[in-house]
Amino acid sequence: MDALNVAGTDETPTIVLDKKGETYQIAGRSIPINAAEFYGPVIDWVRRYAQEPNRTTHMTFRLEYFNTASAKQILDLLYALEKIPGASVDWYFDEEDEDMEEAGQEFAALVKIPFEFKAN
Amino acid sequence: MLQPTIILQQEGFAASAFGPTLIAQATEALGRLKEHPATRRRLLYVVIESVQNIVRHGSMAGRPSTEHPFIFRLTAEPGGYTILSGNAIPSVDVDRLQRRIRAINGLNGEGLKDLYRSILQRTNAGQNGGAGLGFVDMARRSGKKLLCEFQEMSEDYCFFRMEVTVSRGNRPMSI
Repeated sequence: MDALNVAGTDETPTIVLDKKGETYQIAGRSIPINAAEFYGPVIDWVRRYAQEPNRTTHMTFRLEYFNTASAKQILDLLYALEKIPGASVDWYFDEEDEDMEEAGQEFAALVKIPFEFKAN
Repeated sequence: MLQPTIILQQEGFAASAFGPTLIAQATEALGRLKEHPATRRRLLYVVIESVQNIVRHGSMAGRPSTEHPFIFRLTAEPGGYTILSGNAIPSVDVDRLQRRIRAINGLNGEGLKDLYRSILQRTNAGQNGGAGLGFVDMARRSGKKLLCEFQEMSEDYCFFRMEVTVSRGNRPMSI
């Protein structure tokens, strides 16, 4: 399965989804106005990966901030991840950013995936 | 007493052309503010949602985007900051929008959190917003009521203005 690598921009995060390298990461700013268009291929990749996943799938989120359009897509991404046995999430946040920590906790409450919260 | 100071303002037509630039300018301006990082962050979130609402929803069918009016203003005031945004909306949407905002303004912090979660979960994949998630998010970050005004432009369109205030200081979201 090919890796999905998307370079970050002022409005969209860096995406690294690499089955062979066992790296699954979303990092940066996520404020695209058309978040569905951006995250569509990301969610598709995770769904295809779910058909033959690695033994464990450890996804990392290191978001500076995200708009509400992205929030919906992130939740859909987590719903796709939820179907993968052995999936877990590391949710990073700036030490002083209680709101980002809380955002991660809100996502964690909506999906059945173990979350670990890590301050930068 | 300090007078209100306009930090950033843009008004005119064709908001879609200004959206990314406004956000970039606001990011830069907020970075220069001598404010608690939590205040700067909350402001930035509200600015982003406000600008993207203008771009996404300000539309007038049958007229080119170059004729769609909008306004955006970020003002520093003694107690905090005010974000004013405005765009044209179809008159048929006014009642629904008023009801939605009235419902949001009637909720406390926990209520807003529940509403946010409920909207987030129920919206189908592929949607980019709408359903009021942005308004709920702004209300949570503001901690105050959303102030709105609808001004008739024509039989078919109203100019919708919204003011969101963000106080200074560090406090939990939506309290």
